[in-house]
Amino acid sequence: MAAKRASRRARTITFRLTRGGWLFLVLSFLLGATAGGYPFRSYSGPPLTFVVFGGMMGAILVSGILARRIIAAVVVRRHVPSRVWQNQTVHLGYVLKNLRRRHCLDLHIDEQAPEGIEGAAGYCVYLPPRSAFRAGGRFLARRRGRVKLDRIRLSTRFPFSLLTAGKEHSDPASLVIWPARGKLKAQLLCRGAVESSSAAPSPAMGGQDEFFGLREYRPDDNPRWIHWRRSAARKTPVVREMSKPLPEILWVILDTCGEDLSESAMFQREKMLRFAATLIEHALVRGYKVGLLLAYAAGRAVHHPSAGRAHRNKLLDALADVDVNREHSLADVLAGESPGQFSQSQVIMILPDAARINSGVRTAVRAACRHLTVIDEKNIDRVFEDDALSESQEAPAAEESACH
Amino acid sequence: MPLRSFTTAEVVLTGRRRFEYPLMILVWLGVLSFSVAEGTWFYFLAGTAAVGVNLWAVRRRKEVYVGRLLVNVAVCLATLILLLEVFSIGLSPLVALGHYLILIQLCKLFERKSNRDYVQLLVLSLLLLVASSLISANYVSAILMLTHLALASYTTMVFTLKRSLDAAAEATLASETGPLAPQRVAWNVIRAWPGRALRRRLGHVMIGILAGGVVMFLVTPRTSAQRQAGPGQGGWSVSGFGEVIRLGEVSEIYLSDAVAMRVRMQMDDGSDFVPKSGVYLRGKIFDRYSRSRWLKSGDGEPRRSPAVGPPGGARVVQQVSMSRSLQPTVFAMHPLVLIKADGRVRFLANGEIVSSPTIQSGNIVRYTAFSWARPLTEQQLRYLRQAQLAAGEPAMATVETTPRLRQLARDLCEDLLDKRRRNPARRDELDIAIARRIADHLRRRYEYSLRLKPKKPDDDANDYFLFDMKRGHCEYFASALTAMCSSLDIRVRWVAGFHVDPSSRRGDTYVVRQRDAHAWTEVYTPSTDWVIVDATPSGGRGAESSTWSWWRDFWKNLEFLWDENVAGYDSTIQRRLLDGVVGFFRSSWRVVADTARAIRRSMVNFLASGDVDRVMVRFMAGIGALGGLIGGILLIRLARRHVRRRRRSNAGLALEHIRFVRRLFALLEAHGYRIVPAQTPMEAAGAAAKTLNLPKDTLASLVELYYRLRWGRCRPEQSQIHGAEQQVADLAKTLTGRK
Repeated sequence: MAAKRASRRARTITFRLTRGGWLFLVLSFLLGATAGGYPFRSYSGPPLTFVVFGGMMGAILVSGILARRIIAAVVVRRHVPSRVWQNQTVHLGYVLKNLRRRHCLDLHIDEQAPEGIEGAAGYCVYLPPRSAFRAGGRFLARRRGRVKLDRIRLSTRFPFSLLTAGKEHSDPASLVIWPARGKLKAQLLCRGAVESSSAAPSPAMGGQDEFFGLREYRPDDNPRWIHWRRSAARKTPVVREMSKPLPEILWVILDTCGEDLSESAMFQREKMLRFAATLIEHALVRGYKVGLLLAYAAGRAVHHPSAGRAHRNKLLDALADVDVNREHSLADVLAGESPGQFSQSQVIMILPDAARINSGVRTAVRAACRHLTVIDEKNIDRVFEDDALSESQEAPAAEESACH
Repeated sequence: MPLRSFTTAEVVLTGRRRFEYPLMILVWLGVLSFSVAEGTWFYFLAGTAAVGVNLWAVRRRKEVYVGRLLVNVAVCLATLILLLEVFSIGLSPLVALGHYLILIQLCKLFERKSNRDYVQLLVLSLLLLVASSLISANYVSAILMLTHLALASYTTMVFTLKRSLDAAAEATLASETGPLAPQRVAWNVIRAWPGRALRRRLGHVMIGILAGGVVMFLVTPRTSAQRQAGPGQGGWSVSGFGEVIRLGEVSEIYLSDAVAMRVRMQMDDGSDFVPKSGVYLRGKIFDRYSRSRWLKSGDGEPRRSPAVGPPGGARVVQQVSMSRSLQPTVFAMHPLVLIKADGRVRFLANGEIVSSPTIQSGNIVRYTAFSWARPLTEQQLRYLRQAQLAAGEPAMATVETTPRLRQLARDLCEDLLDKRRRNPARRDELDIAIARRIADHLRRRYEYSLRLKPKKPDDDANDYFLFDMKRGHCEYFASALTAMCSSLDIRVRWVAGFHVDPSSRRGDTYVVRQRDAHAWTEVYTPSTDWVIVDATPSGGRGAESSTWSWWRDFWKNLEFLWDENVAGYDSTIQRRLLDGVVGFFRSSWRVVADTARAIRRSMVNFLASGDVDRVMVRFMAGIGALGGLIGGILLIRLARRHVRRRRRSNAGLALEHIRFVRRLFALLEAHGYRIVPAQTPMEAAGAAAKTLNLPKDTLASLVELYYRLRWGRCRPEQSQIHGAEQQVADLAKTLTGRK
């Protein structure tokens, strides 16, 4: 029932007088009073004033009728990307379709109350009868997270800007805004995750064996692998040494737990998220398999290392969804995981304070992984250059809270 | 005065020129309509010059402007002028305010204009329109006002689009990090300018505005502060409608068909008033004749009322709508008992009635006169006698006569004069008989003409008419009769007014035209009061009417209609209109109800006895006609749809026109080129040219022609198609020759 009522409300065309419209109306009534001789005179005013007064009232009426006809003739649909980066210009498309044989002018399209995006609006000057037009809207996604877009308001002020007629169209869509990307100042990814073979290539056909180098012949080496050309110039023969590269794996462990909800703390946490997003994007572009370990208020989440576009979206969506977590600490996050899964992988732990981590846990992870890096508030600026727009937005707030 | 060029963004994004053209003309039109309403042209000339300079600049994509300080100083000066006009010159505040509005607009024209300034210009223009409507109600102003309204609507519509375009461009530019070309930035706001759509919308808008204006004009309650005046009540004293009548100076008179007044006549009990002959509406009264001129001897003192009120009796009610140019004379049948008007009227001692010049603001004077119907009763005659005595015994007209005129009068009425001498008791009767005999003589012996020879300056006009010219118009006949009667010691006077022929009656309304202006003689006897004696024979033609005079009459009639029905629209007309509308609906409903009853009766007859009567036949014919009409409309619509489809299909593409492309690709395939489905025709042609070593330009031009025909909605010319076919044939020859 409620849905039906809501949809009926969405179909209803609403009218609202603009400021100019109110002024016009007041002026019309003043003129009408003058024409009618009220309240000071007993005679009617000059006859043309009645015509002008009627014309002005007619103008308001015609505005309503024309605007209503325009709005009733047009339907609007939204074309929106599913995922965008924070603080980047997002291009929306609004497809306007004129269903009737009437000229439609001055069509404004506005998103209805989505949080986190600003100025998403489109405009179409003229939509000929039975035609379609794609009006573009641009906006800046200011806040990370999921934005649910539902209603689009189509309005017009044609012909005289005296009143605005509008109708809301329901077109649900969702948009995930990933944390903004910054720049990595330091090379955090350690290349060389390679396991040397015992010289022989892998028995599998089409394996990923690569030439690693030459070494002196040892007695138990297979003579077939002797590099004869190079051995010719040497006293002792040399053999080809082959290698089988292991996949490069990066685990990002993110500590989202925090009791402090002050603006500066929140800013730092957002910065860590932006760093994590930047790091993940960076690693995936370089061919790493990336895993992510983090916790939400509802519980921990583990994304095992993988690569590819879908996995990237999954990881960044997970970062976009991070909420206020006061319960699940990093220890809780790691408690459910076996340290063995970090073997042969690089681990980067991102946490507010490096001292907060249990030394036992840290030792276990370090022992299991190939390389462990810990990034906290103190050293994040050394490795990460934040997104300029985010920094300029949030720095004053941080300064303010610091003053307090 | 600096000149600034519009930026590319202003030109491309906001369509500034498209808005400024109509705006400039709107400003000019506002100034023009106010000048026409006010009747002075200084501000109009100033406005024309200022708008002209701005239009010139806009045409060159430039803006003329001065510093804001100068504009502010100019506005202060305009305010000073307003104060001077109101307090020093004593101009009407409304007119002074209009001048102020014009000056402010002119100042704004030379300011650097933003959207806010445009709004101010539009509002000022609207206020000027209101001021014009307040100070004038003539139809020229109305025409200008309508034009102004239409242009203002169009300009405001364009401005609505301009403001939205500005806002959209601004929003788009704000979300970009670097400067982009306007065309690229405004990819979502720039479209072909919807000039046609705007013009079509303007039609709808004007219909709505006019409908609103007309409805409000018709239904808004109006006032009609009619005041009553009877004989003896005072008022304003003014002159008009010919204070002096000069005879013998005008040689030719043109009879104008322009409407002078409309008189609605009926008895006060609501019955029709049907006069036997024409109706004489008395206006000016002259009783002194000297040197060929008729003058008034009275001093304009108001008449005093008799002690008792007028007795009852049948009265003729005359609702008069009169052109204001005839003021202050009030025209009515004699004897007039009561008059109701939107102002003050005054009965002069000589029996003439004059009204206040400010009787009504419009150009139509409206009043209702009540006159006694003839014949008069004894009581009415007694009352009139008392009224005459209260005003003073009517004096003898002072008329200069020549001896031969006096002799002629005596010769004509010798026997009656003799009787009058012998029977003084029958003097009243014989005086009237003498006047009628002379009038009869004049009618028979003299010719009516409007083409006369001017008399010599020393000649007496009556003498000249009677003995030399022997023809003349009503003024000569009345003048001669009055002079002759006066020479015979009869109390007479020369009266000017309108004589309305019964043929000019439309329903209960007489349309009185300027050609109906007339002069006659009135004879006074105590027993009969003033009696009309008309010596003018019927007939006579005026000067030949030219096209110009026809147009002039037409224009004047239009003016009268406007003044009567629009400028003079008041509660009386409103009530009459309402009665008319209600009456129309009632009669229509009656007709419908009668018809329905008749059809029902006829149907019953048909069902009961199988009779097909006349009503049934008509009913069936009506249904048939209605069906035919609906069928016709449907057929027309179908035909139009068919034509539209046909036109659309013609405007699109006939299949035979693109046959050359099919032949081309069939040829390419036949010679070994394999067309990939994903390729566009242009890509396929390019690849085929490379593969088969064909001229690339030829193939490209063929495909381009195909594109133009297929997508460009281009109507192909036969030569183009023929040329393309020829090119394909040449290609075929080339390929075959290689084999």
